[in-house]
Amino acid sequence: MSGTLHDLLFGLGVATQPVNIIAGFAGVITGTIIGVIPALGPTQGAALLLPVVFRLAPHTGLIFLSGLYMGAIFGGSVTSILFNIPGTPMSVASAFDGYPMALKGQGSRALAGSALSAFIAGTVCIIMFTLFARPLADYALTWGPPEYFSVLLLAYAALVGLGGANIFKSVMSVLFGLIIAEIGTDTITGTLRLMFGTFALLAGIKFLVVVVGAFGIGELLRAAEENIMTKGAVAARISWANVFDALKEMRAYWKTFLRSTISGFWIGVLPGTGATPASFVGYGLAKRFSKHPEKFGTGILEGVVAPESAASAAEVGALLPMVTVGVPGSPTAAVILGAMLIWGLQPGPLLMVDHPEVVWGFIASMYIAIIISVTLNLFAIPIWTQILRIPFTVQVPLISLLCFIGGYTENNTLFTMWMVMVFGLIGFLFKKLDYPLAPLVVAIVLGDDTEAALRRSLIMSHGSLGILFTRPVSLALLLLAAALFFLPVISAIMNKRRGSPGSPAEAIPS
Amino acid sequence: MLPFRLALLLAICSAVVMGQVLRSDPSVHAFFENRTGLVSVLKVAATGIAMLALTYVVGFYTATLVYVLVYTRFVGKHHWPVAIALSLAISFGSFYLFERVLAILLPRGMYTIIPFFG
Repeated sequence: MSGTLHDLLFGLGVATQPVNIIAGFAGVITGTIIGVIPALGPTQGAALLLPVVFRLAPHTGLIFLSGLYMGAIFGGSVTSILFNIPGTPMSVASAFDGYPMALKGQGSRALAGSALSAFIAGTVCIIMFTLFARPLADYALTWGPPEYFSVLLLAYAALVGLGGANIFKSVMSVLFGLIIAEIGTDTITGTLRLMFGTFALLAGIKFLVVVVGAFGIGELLRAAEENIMTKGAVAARISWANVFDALKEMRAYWKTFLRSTISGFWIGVLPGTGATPASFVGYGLAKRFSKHPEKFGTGILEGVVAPESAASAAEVGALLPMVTVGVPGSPTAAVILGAMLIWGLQPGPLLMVDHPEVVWGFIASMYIAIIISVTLNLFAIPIWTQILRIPFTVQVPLISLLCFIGGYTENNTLFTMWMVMVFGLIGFLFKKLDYPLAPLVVAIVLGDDTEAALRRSLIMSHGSLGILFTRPVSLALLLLAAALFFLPVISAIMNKRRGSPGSPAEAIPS
Repeated sequence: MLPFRLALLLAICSAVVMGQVLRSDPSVHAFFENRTGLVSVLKVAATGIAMLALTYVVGFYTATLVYVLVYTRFVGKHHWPVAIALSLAISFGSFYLFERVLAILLPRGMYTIIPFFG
């Protein structure tokens, strides 16, 4: 315990260096702007800014990214509550009650409640993160390639089982990502694979190109099709009276808050799920356990507190497996993990030993980022809402150009700009045909490691897959993976027997 | 060998999804709900592709100037002064940011239209 406290103080020392505080501020401001823009969320924002972030020192860059991460969560809620335009998918559930509150003239109370619940949940989860990070990483240090392969398989199984999409479509998304990760030089034998004579593919297709294309351009195409029109900004100012009112009222919802925070944290820890499902589960649980479920959707503060605290908790939870085991808990965490790899840092248990300044600086920066975010969010709301005045027809060329430049900086060829466009179209097709994108991105980021872990395991066992089943930790992880993979089937059978529709997500108003 | 096995699994899943689609209600298969959606998507995609094609010929910054002007004027229906101001601001602003501040050299084209601009 004292070791953890010592590490955290060391991290706070790193995070409070002037350059890092400036990076944190810049990250939060950029993140909030990104969160407010309907076509961009934290994943897209982190991906778009990676070319700039690489120019910073790793710990400064990570502090910028953690600020961006926190800022985007807050920014997304502002537009969701005031205009019913969720800036990010994770803030969709906040609009269920937040927007009706805004219509009733309680917009500032809803925003204060949203910011405070995200702040408190985030803080509680960062403390949980700090406590769990070291033991988990120490434990993971004892793992060999079979255990590592099994934990990666668990990540894919969680993406399929918990993603909520058609199982086969989720599996296809994972497989497509793994195949893309195979393109280029085989890291173990050095043979060239799936290049079809194109030398530009020698180094493979980098995850950045896929992420910028699929999330950036793909989201832009979707927004164009859905004809997202930004409405005029409304005046919204928050007074301290609103903040204290919301704080007083929130005390009555401590049970909702606790449920959302705990469920959100663990949903976040599960690989590949992230804040969006957590926010829906948080809302659904609050409605299910409420004495007045009929009031949900009409504009009550509890309906804002539940999804906001769950989403914030999940975003922090998602970083835990990324830092300790090297498996991202959400698509945004996957992008941050990719950034670490480009810096030459290998996320996983050894990172805490080799680069403590990076890990603990990152953890401490989350404390600072969340304080900066809540302050900015409470006082600068009128400024953020002005961003919505930028017409969509101006946002399109701006975001497209950022995506192209982001792709180009990957290896300085025009070919990668075209790849960004191609993956933009693929991303749009995925969305239109209900194929989840998160498994694709996670598979591309982890593809090389998955293959290397499998092949090293097979080298250890002279070609027998039995090694995965004879080591206890590996076997336990595989069993858990199987359970998660078949979770949709199991829950469907159980619900059929019970004769009830079941999942908390179904309690959500349409 | 691994890519082949992954592709084989992908083919099996594709066959299952195709089976599910064939068995489901055909009325839910419309890709675009209306013509407006299709046209909006085409406008964004086609101008983006044209921008990249133009980059080969005149370089990134001149292509940006043309792209932003065309998009804001003809797709966004903004007034000429607004479109011109935006295209100049975005192309020169990105030139200054990437070439001068961040020292990221973006692609040059076959022909130089604006001398220092690439």
